[in-house]
Amino acid sequence: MIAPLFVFAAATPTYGAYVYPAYLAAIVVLGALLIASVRRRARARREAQALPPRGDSA
Amino acid sequence: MKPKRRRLLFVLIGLALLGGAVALALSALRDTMVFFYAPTELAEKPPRAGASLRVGGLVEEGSVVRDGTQVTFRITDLTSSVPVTYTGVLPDLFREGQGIVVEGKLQPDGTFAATRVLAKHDEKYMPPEVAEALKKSGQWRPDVAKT
Amino acid sequence: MHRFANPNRFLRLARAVFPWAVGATVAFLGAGLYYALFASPPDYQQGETVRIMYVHVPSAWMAMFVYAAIAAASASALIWKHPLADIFARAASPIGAAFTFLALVTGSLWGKPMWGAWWVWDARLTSVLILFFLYLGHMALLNAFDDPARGQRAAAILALVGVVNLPIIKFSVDWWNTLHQPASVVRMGGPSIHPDMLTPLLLMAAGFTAYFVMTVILRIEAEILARRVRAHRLMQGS
Repeated sequence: MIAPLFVFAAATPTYGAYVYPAYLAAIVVLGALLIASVRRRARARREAQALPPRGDSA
Repeated sequence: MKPKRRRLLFVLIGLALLGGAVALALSALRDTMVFFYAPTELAEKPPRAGASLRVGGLVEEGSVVRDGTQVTFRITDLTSSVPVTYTGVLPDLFREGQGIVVEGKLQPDGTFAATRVLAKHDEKYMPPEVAEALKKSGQWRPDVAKT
Repeated sequence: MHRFANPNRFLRLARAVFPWAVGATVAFLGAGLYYALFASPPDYQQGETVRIMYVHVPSAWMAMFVYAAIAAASASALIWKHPLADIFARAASPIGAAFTFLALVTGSLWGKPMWGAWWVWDARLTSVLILFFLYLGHMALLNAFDDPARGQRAAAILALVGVVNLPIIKFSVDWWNTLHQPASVVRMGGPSIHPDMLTPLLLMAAGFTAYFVMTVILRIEAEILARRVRAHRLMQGS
C-alpha cells in the first residue's frame, strides 16, 4: 500500500506536496491515538487483575 | 420537585438562554463576521481611505492582463466591478470566470491594490468528463458569486 | 439507556462489540483508502488535490459528531448522574480532539494549493479552531481538580456551553460570505457531489465512525478498570 503511494507521490507534484502529507497526518494521528489507547487498556487490565478477588460487584 | 427534574430544567433553561445570547451576539456582529464584500457593496458604501479589506466576486472574462509577475484584472458580481492590481503568485484555480477573494486596499484612483489573492471553489465536485458533458448539453449553470 | 448505565453490563456488551468494530474499521478504511487514492476520478476544477477531501471532510464530521455525543453524555451525567456518561465523556474527548486536529491540518494542506493560503480567518475555520480549543479545555478541566468528580462536573458544563458552537460551524458557510464553499452533501436538493466521489467519502466516514467506536471502547474499559483499582486503593488506604 505504501510503496505505490511513493511512486504516485513522485509522479504528480500535488500528491507529494499536499495529498500525501494529508493522508500521512491522518495515519500518524489516528495510529498514535489507537496505540496509546491499547496500551492504556493493557495497563489497566494488569492492575485490575493484581487486585484481590472481590466479594460482590458494584 | 424531584432533584432530577430540577437539574433537567436547569440545564434546558441554561442552554436556551445561552443559545439566545449567542444568536443575539452573532446577529450584532453580522457585518464584521463577513469575510469579504461584493463590488456592489463597495460602490454603495465606500470604505475608509487606506482601510484594509477583502473583496470577492468573479474574475471578469477577458479582463486579465499579465505583465511579468504583475497582473491586472477586474473583479465583478455581474452588477458592478472593481479593477484590481496584484504582484505575485496566483493560486492554481485562478482563471477567468472563477470566484476569487482579494485582500488589500482601495486606492484613491478607484483601483484595488491586492496584497493577496485567494481562489474560491464551488460546492460541486465531479470528474472532468462529466463537467465537459454538462457544458456541451447546456445543463451547466455557472456559479454566480454569492453576495 | 439506564440498562447500559451499569459499568459491568456495559463491559460485557463492549467486549462483544469490540471485534466487530475492529473488523469494520479495517474493512471500511481499507476500501475507503483504495477508492480515495486510486479508484476515484480527479475533480474538474481541483484535479488530484480533491483527494484531500476524503480525509478532511470525514474528520470534520467526526469532530462535530463526537462533540455532540460528549455534550449529550455530559447532559445525562449532570441530570441523571449516570456513572457511565462521565466515563464516556472522558474517553471520547481525546478522540474528538484528534479528529478536529486532523480536520484543521488537512484543511490547511487543501487550502494552500486551492485557495492560495494555509489559513484564513473566515467564519468556518475560526469556529472549528474554537471547537479544538473546547476539546483541549474539556480535557484540561477533567484533570484540573484533585477530586475527579469536581473536574467531571466542570468539564460537563463546559461541554454543554460549547454546544452552541456546533450549529455555528455547520451553518457558517451559509450565514456569512466565507472562503469555504457551501455545503455539498447535507443540503436541500441532494448532494452536489458526483457519485464516484461520494463513494470514497462515505466509505471513509464509515471507517472513521468504526474507528471511533473501537477506540472509545478501549478507553472506556481502561477507565472503568482504573476506577476499580483507584477505589480499591482508597479503601485500603483508609
